[in-house]
Amino acid sequence: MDIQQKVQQAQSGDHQSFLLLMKHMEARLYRIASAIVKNKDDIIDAMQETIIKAYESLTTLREAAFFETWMIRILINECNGILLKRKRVIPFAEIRSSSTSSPTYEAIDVRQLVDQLEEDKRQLIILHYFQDIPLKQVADIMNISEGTAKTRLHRTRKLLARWLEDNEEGGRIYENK
Amino acid sequence: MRTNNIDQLEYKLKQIGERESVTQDQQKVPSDIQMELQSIYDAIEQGQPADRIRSELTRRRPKQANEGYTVLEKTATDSVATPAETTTPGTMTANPTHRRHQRMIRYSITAAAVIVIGVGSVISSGFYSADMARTLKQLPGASQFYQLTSQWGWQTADEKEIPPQPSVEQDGIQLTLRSLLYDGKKVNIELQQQASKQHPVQQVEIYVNSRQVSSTGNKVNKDQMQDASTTIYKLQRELEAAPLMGISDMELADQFGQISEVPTSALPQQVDMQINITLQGMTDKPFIYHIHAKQNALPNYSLTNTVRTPEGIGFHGATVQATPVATYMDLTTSYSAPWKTWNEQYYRNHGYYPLGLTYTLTDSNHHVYRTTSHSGRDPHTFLEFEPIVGQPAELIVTPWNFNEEPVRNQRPIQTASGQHSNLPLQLDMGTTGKVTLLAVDSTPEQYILHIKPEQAYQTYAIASSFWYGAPGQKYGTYSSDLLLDPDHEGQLLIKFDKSKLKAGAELHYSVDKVTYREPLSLKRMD
Repeated sequence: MDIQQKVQQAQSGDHQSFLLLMKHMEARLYRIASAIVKNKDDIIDAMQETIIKAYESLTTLREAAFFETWMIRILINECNGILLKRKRVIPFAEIRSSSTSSPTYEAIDVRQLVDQLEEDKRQLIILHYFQDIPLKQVADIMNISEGTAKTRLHRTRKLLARWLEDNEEGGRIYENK
Repeated sequence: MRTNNIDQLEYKLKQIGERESVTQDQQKVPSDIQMELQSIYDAIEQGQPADRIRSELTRRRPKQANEGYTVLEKTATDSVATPAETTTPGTMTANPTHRRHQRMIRYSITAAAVIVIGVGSVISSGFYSADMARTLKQLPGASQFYQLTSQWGWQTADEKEIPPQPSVEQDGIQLTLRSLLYDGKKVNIELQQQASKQHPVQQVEIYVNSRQVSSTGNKVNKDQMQDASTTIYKLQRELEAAPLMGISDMELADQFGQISEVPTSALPQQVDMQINITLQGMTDKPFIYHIHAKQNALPNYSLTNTVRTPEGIGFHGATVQATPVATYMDLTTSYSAPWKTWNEQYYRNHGYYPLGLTYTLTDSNHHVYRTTSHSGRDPHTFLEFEPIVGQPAELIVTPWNFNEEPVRNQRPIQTASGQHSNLPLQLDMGTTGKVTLLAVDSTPEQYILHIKPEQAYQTYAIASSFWYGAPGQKYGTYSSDLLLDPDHEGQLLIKFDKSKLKAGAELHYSVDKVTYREPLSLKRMD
């Protein structure tokens, strides 16, 4: 399917083209939403709202080539909105320090560590590593410069490496000398 | 650190990415989610404007297609259990792929709603007898109405038998809801299963006024289950405030979209709940219970004065709501400029913020309560602890934190031939305090450490300082369970599950550099 052509047709009011584009994006949107918000109802809410927003504002998209990035950015914003609304916001520090009852005998799952990252860092890792989106595109999606994305990625990797090391040395995720 | 570690991490992240991409290639959008999206696609195909699609979606939420029924005032009901033979709220969403079927459902709902409003007006009028119930049941369509309403907690007058412990039996499995504690924010549920073969609990969903207020998702994970012994299942579920109060999330959100904390006193004092329990291997037959739950009032505690630490951390007030389910604390704090500067400096040096303050709760009877949750942002911190025991005159909150640098030294506890023959042993844990390790019992299932801390508020820091690790291996474990020694006042037991330990694991302790702040005293408000 020629995505750019379909985008242009959809922008001209062709609903069938728009639906084809949505079907094309559906699985990807689902994977990203489920990686970020996890809860099924929230995934549905995020996807539904993303589709409606895309439907009502597709004409504002200037470059058809950026369609996929644009869709993912809408989805990420929706997911962020849902995360903000969630009742429980457990401070990062508390998660890292809650070690008394956490079983950590087995090698810590890096995926679990990623889930404990602050939201912007977590999304960066999910999009870049787990969804295999180039850093430049991730930066566009997250509305930050490529340089910022690189710096953030570097810091996040350092942080994860440190956590990983701390876990391997004793099972507690906090600063360890 | 650590170039090596970063390389290793990079490798692991890429591995996960590759693994997930393989899975993702095979992964389709689940059919139930596709169905939800399909209704939007249908509307787009018809050329409906976005606003209309959105308002239609809003109208359809909650996804249970039973909005019409909520117009009824419920009759007094305490607890009824019904087997899941008919449609449950979760299965009544429209199926756009079968429009004819969808229309039929819509007509049925409309018809049912008409019956509900009509019959409901009779019921809510209060003139409602067993005879009338029997008469109403003869009306066309009314039998379905009764089937539905009985699932949502309404009973006809002639069915007002209230079992003290509602049981549901299906396929030879009897599931009894032994107890339910409700405090507005949470429920504690205890179930007992009687069957020739146990079917673990797979999913728990709770509805109030047909809106879901809690769900475990498709699988109850181990952390959610407090006890899963042979036949007894205990779990605690948090309830969503907005549906419980009958309002939308938006009405509870602040200007940042953050859902506000609602004190238990502002939440419904009593509610009719529908609880759906799904067992593994019986996913199409949930066990359904209808319970009338009430809050039980316990005394509140309050810190009325302001306490300031030498570093300039101010505690301006604390209120504690004690319930049979949990103890909730709302703490108001402020931080001095030097403290904030130090935090920022630390962030610049390390790439993340240092650990914040942690709080230990004890009472005037020397009980120590485990922290179960910690949330919120400055200046408000919301803490949850285990339920308090009795009605102590005073609660004591001790703020503490780990010193960031240096943090820890790990030390093995010397043993002779694998036996802890040199006990009792006094261990100096640095600023965490001193502790006497009195004995270590070994059973086939677990190690039990008997310890005597110097100060009650140190207990959790001390408990997490003990761990088992195998020599020459990097991995340790902190999967310990801490409880008061029932036989010796002021002593504690720390249990380690042996199944989680590696062969040859030996006992170690860590010297944590902990700084304790001035304890805050909260008086009971009688």
